[in-house]
Amino acid sequence: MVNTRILTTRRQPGSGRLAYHRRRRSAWPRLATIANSSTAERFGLFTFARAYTAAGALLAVVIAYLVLGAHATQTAYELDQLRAQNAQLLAEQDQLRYKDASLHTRAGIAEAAAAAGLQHSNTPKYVGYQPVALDLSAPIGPDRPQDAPLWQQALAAIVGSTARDAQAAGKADVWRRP
Amino acid sequence: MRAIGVSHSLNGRGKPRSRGPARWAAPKRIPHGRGDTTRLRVLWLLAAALLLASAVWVRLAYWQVAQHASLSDKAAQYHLRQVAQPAARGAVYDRDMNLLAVDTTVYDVTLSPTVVKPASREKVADGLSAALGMQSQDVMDLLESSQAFAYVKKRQPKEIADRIAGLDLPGVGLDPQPDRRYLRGGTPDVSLASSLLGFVNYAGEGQQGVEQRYNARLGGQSGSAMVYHDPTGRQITLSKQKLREPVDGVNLVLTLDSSIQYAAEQAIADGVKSNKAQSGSVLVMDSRTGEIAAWANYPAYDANAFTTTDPARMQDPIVSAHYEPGSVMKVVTLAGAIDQGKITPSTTIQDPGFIVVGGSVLHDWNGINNGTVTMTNVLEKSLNVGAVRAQQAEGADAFLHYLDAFGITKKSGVDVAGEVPPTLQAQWRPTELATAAFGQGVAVNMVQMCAAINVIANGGRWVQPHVVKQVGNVRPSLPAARQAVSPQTAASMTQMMESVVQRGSGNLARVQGFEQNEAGKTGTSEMPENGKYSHDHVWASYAGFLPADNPRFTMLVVVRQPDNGSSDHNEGYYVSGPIWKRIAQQIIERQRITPGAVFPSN
Repeated sequence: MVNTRILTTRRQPGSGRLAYHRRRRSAWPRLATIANSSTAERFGLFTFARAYTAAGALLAVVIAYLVLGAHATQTAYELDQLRAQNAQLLAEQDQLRYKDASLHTRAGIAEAAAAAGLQHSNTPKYVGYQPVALDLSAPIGPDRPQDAPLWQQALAAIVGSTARDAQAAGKADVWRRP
Repeated sequence: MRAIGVSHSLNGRGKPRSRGPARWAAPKRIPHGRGDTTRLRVLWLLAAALLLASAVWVRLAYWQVAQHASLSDKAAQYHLRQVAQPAARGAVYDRDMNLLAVDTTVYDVTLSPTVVKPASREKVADGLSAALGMQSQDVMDLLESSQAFAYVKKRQPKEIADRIAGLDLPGVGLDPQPDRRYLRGGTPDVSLASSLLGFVNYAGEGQQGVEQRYNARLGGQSGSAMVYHDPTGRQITLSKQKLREPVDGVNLVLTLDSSIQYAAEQAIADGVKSNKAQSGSVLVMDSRTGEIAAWANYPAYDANAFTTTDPARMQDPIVSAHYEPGSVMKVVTLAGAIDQGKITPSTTIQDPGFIVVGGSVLHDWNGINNGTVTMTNVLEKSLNVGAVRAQQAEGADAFLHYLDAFGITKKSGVDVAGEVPPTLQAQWRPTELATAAFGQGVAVNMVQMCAAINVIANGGRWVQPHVVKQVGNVRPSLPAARQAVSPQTAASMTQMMESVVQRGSGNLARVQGFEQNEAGKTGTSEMPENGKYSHDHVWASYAGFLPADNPRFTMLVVVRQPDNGSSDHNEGYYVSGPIWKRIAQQIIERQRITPGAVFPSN
C-alpha cells in the first residue's frame, strides 16, 4: 500500500532535491535574481524573459536592417547622380573633342584664313634646276685648325701623314669625309 | 464536470464498467442538458474556424507557393527594369591621328503631361518653346493631352539641353542619345570623306563605307542591367542586378591624309563644275604600300545630315559603280605584251588609223593615217590600233592572264563596304578582246584600275589597296603583294608613261618641277546608253604617278559626262589632266616631295 498523501507531497513543484538541482543548473541566474524582485514579479519578467530578449534582439536586427537599407538606398541615389554627372562630363568631353577637331580641319583653317584676308596660292613656284660643277673628291670645309698640342704638331711634322691620320681617327666623328 | 465523470464510468458501448463481479443493471440514461448544446456550438464554431482558417491557408499556399513564380515576375516587372547599357562607338582617325568621326551626345526632350499640374503648364510651355524655338501653343497642346509620355523634340544639341535642364521644369525629361559627327569637307555642306566613311543611322548601325564595313568592331557590344527603380523612377543600385557589361567599340586609324583629302575634294569639285560634268572622283594611293591617301567624290553629301540627303548621293561611285577605263587600259595591254617579250617600247607598227577585227572596223581617236609608229608613240598619242596590235601579238590567253594579274578580273578587296565586282565576258570574241585592249567593253571600279596602274609604279608588284591602317591596336593583315610583271617591264612602261607626259597627251598634267619625272596616261571612254555607246557622254580619266623614278603616290581621276561643247574638250587629257595636276601639286607640298637630283657624271 502506498500512501497517496506522501505521493502528493513528493509531486509538489519547487520542493525536493531534484528541483533544487534544476534551479542550480539554470542558465540565467541573474534573471532568476531579477525574477525574485518585486518589480520583476510585477512585470512577469521571469516568465517572459526569453521572449522579451528574443523580441528585443529581433527589433534590433530589424532596425539595423532598416538603417542599412536606408543607407544603401541613399548611396544608390548618390551613385545614380554620380552616373548622371559622369555621363554629362563625358558628353561635354566629346563635344569639346569634336569642337577641337573641327577647329583644326583644313576647312576650319581655310575659313579662319579667309576671314583674316589671307589667300592660298595654287601656283607654287619652284627653283629651277641649274647644273653646278661640283668636285666631289675635294675636301669639305676649310683646313683643320691647328689646335693640337705643339708636341703633336712636331711629331706630325716629323712622321708625316701617318700621325695625322692617327690623330684624325681619334676624332672620326668630326673629321669624317665622304 | 459531470459529463467527464460519466465518460469515465462508461465503456465504449455506453455500458457501465465494473471492477467487481458482473452485475446486471439497467443502463443509466444520459440527460440532454444545456451544457451539451454549448459543447456542440463550440465544436461547430471550431469546425467553422478551422474551415475558414483552412481556406485562408489554402489560399495563402496558392498565392505563395503555386503562384510564387508568376507573382515574383510581376513584382520584378514593377520594380525592375532592364536598362540597355550602350557601348561607346569607336572614333575614326586619319593617318596623322586627326579625328574624322566622333560620337557626341544629343538629347531627346520628353514630357510627361500627366505629371505637370495645370498651374505649371504655362511655365513649362513658355520655357520649352523659348529653348526649342517652338510655338508655345504646340507645347500647351501636348500638356493638355491625356498622354502619359510625349516627345517634344528629338536630337537636340547639348547647349539646348543644358538650357532646358537649367529651367528645372516639372515633367520635362532629357533622354541622351549618341550622335555621330563628321568634320567639314572641302566644299560647303559636305562632310570630309563622306563617301569613304559612310554614316551611322539613328539605330547605331553603320551605313556605307568604312562605318558599314567595320560596324561590328566600331560599334562594340551593348550590355544590359536589371535596375531597381523607386516609384519616382530613380535608379537604385543593388547587388543583385543582372549585368552584362558593355564592350566599347575600337578606334579605327585610316590611311587617309585629311589634308590631301581636303585638297582632292576641292579640286574635283572645281573640276566637275568647270567642265559642266555630272560628277567626278579622285583616288590617291601610296605607290609602295597601297594605302589610300584620298578618296574624294563630287557631288558628295553631309554625313551629319544623312536624313535629308538624297539616297542616290550616298552611292559611292569609286567602289560601287563601274566605269570603262578607256585608254588607261593600254598601260595594262602594252605591259603584258612587253612582259611576254612580244613587243618592246621601240617596236614599230604601221598604223593607217583603223584596224579590222572580227568584221568590225576599229578606229584611232584622231581618224588619220598615223604611219609608222613605235609602241612608245602608241602610248603617247593613245592610238587604239597600236593597242589592238599589241594585244594580238600577245595572244588572247596571255592578255587575259595579265588582266587577271593586274587585278582587273576580280574585286580589288579594298576594305570598304559595297564594292562591285567587274563585269567581264565569259567568252571573249576577237572584237571584244580588241576593244578591251583600249579599255572599252571592260567595266571595272576605280579602285581596281588605280591598283592596276600602281603595278607599274611599284616595280611590277600588285599591292592590296586599303584604307584601314589600324583596328584598335592591331594592324589588319593584308594579302601578300604579288609580282604581276617583271621589274624590267615596269621600268619600260614607266619610261613610256613619262613620254606620255613629256611628249604626248599628258601635257596638261605636267607638274612644274617634275616635267622630267612624272608618268601618266589619259583615258576617254564612251558610256553605254540604251544598248550602244554614246558619242556625247564619256568618262574622262587620267592616271599617273610621281616621281616616276621613285613613286610616292599613284592617282586616278575620273570625270563623268563632261560637257565642254566639243568632244575634244571632253577628253581625259583636257578634263582630268589639270585636276590631276592640281592635286599632285598639293601632295608634293604636303609630302615635301622633291624631284630626283640629277648629278653630272664624271
